Amino acid sequence: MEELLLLLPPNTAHNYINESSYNFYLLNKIQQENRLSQYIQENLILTENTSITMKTRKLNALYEAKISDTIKSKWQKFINFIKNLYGRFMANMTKIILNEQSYLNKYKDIILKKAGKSDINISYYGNYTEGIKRITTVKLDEFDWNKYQEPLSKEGYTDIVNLMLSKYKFEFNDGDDLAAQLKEFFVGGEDGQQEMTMDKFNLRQAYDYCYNYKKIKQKTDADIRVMENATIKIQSAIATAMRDASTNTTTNTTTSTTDNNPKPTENNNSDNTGETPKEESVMDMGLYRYLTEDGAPASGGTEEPKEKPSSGGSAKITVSNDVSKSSGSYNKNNDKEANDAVVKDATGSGKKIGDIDTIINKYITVCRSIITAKWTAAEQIGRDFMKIINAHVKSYAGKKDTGSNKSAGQATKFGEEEDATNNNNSGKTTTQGQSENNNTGNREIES
Amino acid sequence: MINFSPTNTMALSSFDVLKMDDVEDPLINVNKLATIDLEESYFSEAVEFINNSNRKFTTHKINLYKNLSEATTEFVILESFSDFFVKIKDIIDKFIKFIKSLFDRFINNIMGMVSSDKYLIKHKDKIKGFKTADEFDFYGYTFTLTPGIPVASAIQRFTGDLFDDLKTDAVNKQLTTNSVKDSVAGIDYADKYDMFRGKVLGKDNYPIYASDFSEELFKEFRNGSIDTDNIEVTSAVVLNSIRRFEDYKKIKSSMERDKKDIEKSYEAVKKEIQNITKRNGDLNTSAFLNNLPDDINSNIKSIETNQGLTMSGDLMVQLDLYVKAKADMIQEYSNIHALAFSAKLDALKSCYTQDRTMLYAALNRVSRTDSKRKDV
Repeated sequence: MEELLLLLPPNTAHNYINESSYNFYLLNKIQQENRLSQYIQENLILTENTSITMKTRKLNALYEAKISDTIKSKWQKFINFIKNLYGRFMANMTKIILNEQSYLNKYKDIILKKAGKSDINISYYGNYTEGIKRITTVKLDEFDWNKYQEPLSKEGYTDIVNLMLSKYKFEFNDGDDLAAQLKEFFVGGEDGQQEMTMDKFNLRQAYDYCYNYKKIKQKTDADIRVMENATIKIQSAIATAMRDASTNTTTNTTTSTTDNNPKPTENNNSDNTGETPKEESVMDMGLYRYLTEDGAPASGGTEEPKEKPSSGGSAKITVSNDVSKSSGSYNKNNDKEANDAVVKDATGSGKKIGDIDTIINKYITVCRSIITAKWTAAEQIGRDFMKIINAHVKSYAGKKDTGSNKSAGQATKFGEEEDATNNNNSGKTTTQGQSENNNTGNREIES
Repeated sequence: MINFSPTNTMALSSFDVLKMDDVEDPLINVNKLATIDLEESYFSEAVEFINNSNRKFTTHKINLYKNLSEATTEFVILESFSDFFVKIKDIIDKFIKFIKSLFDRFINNIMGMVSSDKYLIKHKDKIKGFKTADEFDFYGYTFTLTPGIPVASAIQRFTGDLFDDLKTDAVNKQLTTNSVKDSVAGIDYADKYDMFRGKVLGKDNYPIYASDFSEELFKEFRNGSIDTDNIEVTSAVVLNSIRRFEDYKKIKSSMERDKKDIEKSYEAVKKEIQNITKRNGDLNTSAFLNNLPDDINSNIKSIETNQGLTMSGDLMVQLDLYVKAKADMIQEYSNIHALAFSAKLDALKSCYTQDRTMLYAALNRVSRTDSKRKDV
């Protein structure tokens, strides 16, 4: 009796993780472009020869349009990409599993009632029993701004990952790539290589997974719905921050010298440090900077901007973001305190909007890591199960219809360009021995 | 029945598995080999690199605009652009360094893999005895790794046009603000970048959108396929794999050539940027000096670099913007090259891992057949 070796190396599934990280890079690129364009527009407004009130109104309008749109549109683009990628994942699963329903039905008795043969060796990576349990159990919680804000604001990912995943016994190592750890988690990778003969393999589990895959699909569909539902909550959080930014809360009059000049958002993109720059919000170089540089104007200050120093130093422009006052003029009797408070409130609110952007970025990263790792694992498990089932059915059914048998693929072409050259076949690689494969049909198992 | 588990229990460490010189029985846990370096993706590292690079570049541009908006003299404008152009050279230097570091790590990886596989080379004659009876199914990729892809020379012809006209055409002094403005506006980024991505993969007139590039790169090095396929491992397939293992130095040289081509091309670009910024700087300085009052100007050594051109403030600005627009292109081109080069390294690594897994399985099969023959 000839022995069959069924070799199932890991990483045969499409890498959704790499693709989603590349997409996120593209989103960030757009954000950088928006950041630049916003900065230019702010400059243009601030250097206009108009009143401070007019400048304030324009800047607020710019914020409401740009910042809110930037954060909202980034989230929306991410959702659209994920849905698109999910569509491709489902197309792959359809090809691997869902299209095999009639085959599974036809050979149900062989699969479930005939014992696996002991001369078929199987080898695959991961504990799929555990992996399936995790894929079906782990789900994204509904987005809750109050619950997530603090852990998402902290450095690193430990807090947010623990909040979302520790209940599923996922142990996160903040030093390593999150998506890679999740992929290992969803295939049960901690149990390493699994080797057994077919008689020891759980064919029922494989059959249930493939035949009833729609049940698993319901779980993965749910993740997409959670993210879509989060859209409204995220937009609401942005709207709240915008409302805060447009309200003049001059109740806070406690100022000190240091309070008058809060440090601007740290710019980590300095070339001097050579360090990896952190994620930055759209606020970092814009209004926030202008509102904080050189503090408030002198008491009894004017509405008009001061002259720029000839040496090219910073412009001393203080902007009131109070759009509710109709007069648009400062209270000259109490200028310094009132203006300080306005600056402080404005910078505080501006920072809030910037914080939201940073938080959204992090939430996107965690969500896409979880769901793309899930899909990668689900696809790998599905592929391997179907191959094992095919081998089992073949061992009984022999030459008969054994489901979707792909024709033999070509061997790796790398390195054969030299052969091509020698054979005067320039520009085209050929496969050695391909002609031998041309007439090969289904592999037979002789018993 | 043959138990697939190795009779000699090997340590879980993947490299330990490979040190088989003193072992006669080659029943090896071949699938452990496939787990080596599962998570190290050069492509995702390149994505992170270009992400950071983009952020820095945006900050440089913001600093430039900040300085320009606060400048009150032309000298400050000149300085602002000069500072910016210095940063562009830094970006190219960092890109070249990154490519080199990726390549060095890849070579260490491959060297590690191949040098640990002396067992395979030692038993290659046995493996070459692979027969029809030993054939088996293997699910993997067909790798297509053509030397010279990514095409480094795609970045040639970066310069030309405007400043060459200034240099060579001493007669034509008709350079105007509007004509330069048109040139700047004519640098059509999106289309140019889409075509550049195709060129980098050796395909002329084949635009690739940014959103499709990741998938195109994956398919480019895997015979146009996203998915694995059933490979019937025949003697021909086995022979090819052995040949690759024996000739790993060829692969190393091929990748080294690709790396050097990229380095050479971008060093040339850096030189061009230096030339352009120097010429631009000289023109600006000349215009600046020409605007000084005569009594001061006469005491300063004149700079004969404007070739008789009348440099207005507007023209200076447009020329600076032209050079800045070219800088944008370099940034994007280097990002595209970084992604393409790293994707190829990923494919090469996967190819080696797949080959090794297949060869150990083949050796197992051959050994089993030999054992049976001896028993008979």
